[in-house]
Amino acid sequence: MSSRNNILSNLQKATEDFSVERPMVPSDAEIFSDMPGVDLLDTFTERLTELSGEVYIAGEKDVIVTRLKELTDGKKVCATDSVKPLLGDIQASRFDGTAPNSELAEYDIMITSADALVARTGSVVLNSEAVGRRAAFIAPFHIVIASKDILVPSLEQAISTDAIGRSTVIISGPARTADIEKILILGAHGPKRLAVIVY
Amino acid sequence: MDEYTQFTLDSTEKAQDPQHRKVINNATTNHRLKYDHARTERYKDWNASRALAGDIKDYALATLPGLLETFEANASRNGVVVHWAEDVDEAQQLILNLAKEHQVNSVVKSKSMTTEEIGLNECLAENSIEVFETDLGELIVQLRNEKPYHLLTPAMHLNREAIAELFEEKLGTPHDADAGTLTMAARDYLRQRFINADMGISGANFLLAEEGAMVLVENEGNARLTVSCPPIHVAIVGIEKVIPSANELRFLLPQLITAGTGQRLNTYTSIIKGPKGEGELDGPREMHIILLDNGRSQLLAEPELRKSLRCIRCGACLNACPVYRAIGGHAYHAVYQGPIGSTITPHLKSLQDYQHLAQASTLCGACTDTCPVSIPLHELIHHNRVLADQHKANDASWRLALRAWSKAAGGRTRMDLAVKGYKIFDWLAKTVVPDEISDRLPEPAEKSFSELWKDHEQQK
Repeated sequence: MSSRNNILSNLQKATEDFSVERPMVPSDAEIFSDMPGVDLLDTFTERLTELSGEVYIAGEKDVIVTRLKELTDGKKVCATDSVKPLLGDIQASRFDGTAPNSELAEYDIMITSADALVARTGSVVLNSEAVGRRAAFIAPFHIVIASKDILVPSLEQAISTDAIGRSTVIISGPARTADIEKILILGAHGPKRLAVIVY
Repeated sequence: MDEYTQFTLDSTEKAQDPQHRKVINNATTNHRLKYDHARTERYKDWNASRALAGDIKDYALATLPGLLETFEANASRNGVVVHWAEDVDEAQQLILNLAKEHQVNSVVKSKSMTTEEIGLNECLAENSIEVFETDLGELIVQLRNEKPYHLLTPAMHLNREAIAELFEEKLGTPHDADAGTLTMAARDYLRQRFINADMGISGANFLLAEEGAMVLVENEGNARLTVSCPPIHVAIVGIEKVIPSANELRFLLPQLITAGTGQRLNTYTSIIKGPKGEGELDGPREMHIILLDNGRSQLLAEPELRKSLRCIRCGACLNACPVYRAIGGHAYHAVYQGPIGSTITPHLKSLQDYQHLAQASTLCGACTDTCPVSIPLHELIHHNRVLADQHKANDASWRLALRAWSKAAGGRTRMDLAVKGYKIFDWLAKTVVPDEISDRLPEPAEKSFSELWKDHEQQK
C-alpha cells in the first residue's frame, strides 16, 4: 500500500463518525466593522498610506507621466509590458521574464500594472499572467499604475476562484519586519517603497 | 536525561531569569494589545467570527480525505507534483531525492514550522546541502545555532544588543548597529542567496482544494523570493491545512492575521497554483507539494483531540499563556510550544515523553478565550492529563498521590478521618523531625469543614 493510500484510508476511518454541515461564509460587509465608505478611493488611499505606501491620484493620463518623472528621476527603471502604453517618454527597460535573478536585481525601480485594488485593506493584487512573479519583489522600489475602475471594496471580490490567477500576490504596503525588538523596519527583503498611481 | 527532568530544570531556570521575563513580557504584551485592538475595532462580532472559523475548519476536517483528493487532482492539473509522506523519515527522503535528482547544492527556505517538525535543516546539512533561512528571525536563530523561540517570532527572546553582537561576528556589521542597519545587512546577505539558490523550500498556511492552490503569508517578502527565484520550489504542508476554496480563504486569512499580529492584513499573501505555465513570464520550472501526516490522522480519529487540528498556527495562545510567558519557548523542548504545543506534542511524538507538558498548565483558559478558531485548548490539555493517567504515562508517585487524595476526599467521614489523621501526623513530625522541616508542614485544622458546618448549623 502506498503512503498515499495508507494516509487516505486512515483518514477515512478517522472521519467515519464525524460529519459537519458546510458553513455559509457571510459577505465581508457582515463580518467587518471597518468596511470602506462610499468613496472607495478615499479609504484605499487612507489605508495604504497608514501602511507607509504612497498613493498618487492622476486625474488625467498625462499626469501619470509627470508623476513618474518625479519618482524615477535618475534611476534605473524596468517596466512590464502591461504598463508600457502609459509610460509616455519615460526611459524604462522592458521586463523580460527569461532574465536571470541577478540581472533583475540590478534595477532600482520596477513598474507594473495591477489586477485589482482593495479599498478595505489598502492592497494591490497582482496576477502573474500580466507581471510575472519576481517583478514586484526584486527591486527596492515598486510602482503600480492602475485605473480606479479596478478598485473593489474588500478581499471578497479580490480573493475568489475567478479572480485569482496562476500565481497571485496581494500586496499591502512595503516589505516590513519587526523581528528585532518589535521595531518596525521597512524594506526587509521586498521593496522598501511602494507607490500606486491611480488614474 | 528524560524530557520531564530537562523541562523541570529549564523552566525553573527561565522563570527565575528577570531579564528573560522582561523581554518575553514586553513582546507578549505588545502582541496582546495589538490583537485586542484589531478584533474590537475591525470585527462586528469577533466571537461569532471565531465560532464560524472553528466550524469551517471542522467541516474541512470532517471531509479531509475527499478534500485532499480534490486538492491533489486540481494541483496536479496545474502542473504541481503532489507527494504523500506518512512520517518524518519519508518526508526527509522525498526532499533528499529531489535534491539529488536536481543536483541541488544550496537551498533557501522561508519560515515553516513543518520544516522544523521534519528536522529539515539538520537533514540537509548531513547531506552536504547548504540551507539558508530567509526569515529574519529564523536567520538570527540559525546563526546562533538555536531553535526558534516562538511560532511567529523566532528571535523574540533576543534584544537588539544581542543581535548586533551576533551580526558583528557573522556579517561584519558595526558594533553598535541599530535595527535598521541590522535588517539591511541581513537583506544584503540573503539577496545573493536568493539569486543563486538551486531550490526554494517553504511551508504553506493554507491549501485550497477547489483551486488546487497553496497560500503563503508573510511580511518580509522573503517567502515570495524563496518560491519565485530558484528553478525548483518544494512545499511541505501538514494535511490539516486544506480548506475547501478561496471563499473560505478570504475569511480565514484575516482571522489568522488578526490573531497572529493584529494587522488588518499582512504585507504579502501569495496564492500559487503551479510552476511556470504556458504564457507565464517567469516562475520555477518545477513545483512539488509534500503532504505530511506524521500523527495528524491519529489526532483526527479521536473526537476530543481532533479539535486541535483546527489550529491555523497563529501563535496567539502562546502570548496569552501565563506559563509560556514565564518560561518562554525553548523550555518546552518541542517544535510546537505553548498551549497548542502542550496539546499536540504528546501525540505527534509520544505521551510517555511529553505528557509533562500537560501538567505545565494552570488550566486558566486564557488560551481557549484567545483562540481564533475556537479550540478549547485548556480542556484538551486536561484531556491529555487524563490520557496520561489512563496509559500510566505519568509519574507513579503522582498517580499514587492522586488515588490517595481521591479516596480521602471522596466522602465526609473519610475526610473527617483524614483531618484527624493529619493532626496526629503533624504532632508526630514536630516531635520526631527537626524544626526547620516540620515547620514547613501546613498547620493542621481543628475540625474539617463538614464538622464546622454542622456546628454552625446547630448554633442557629
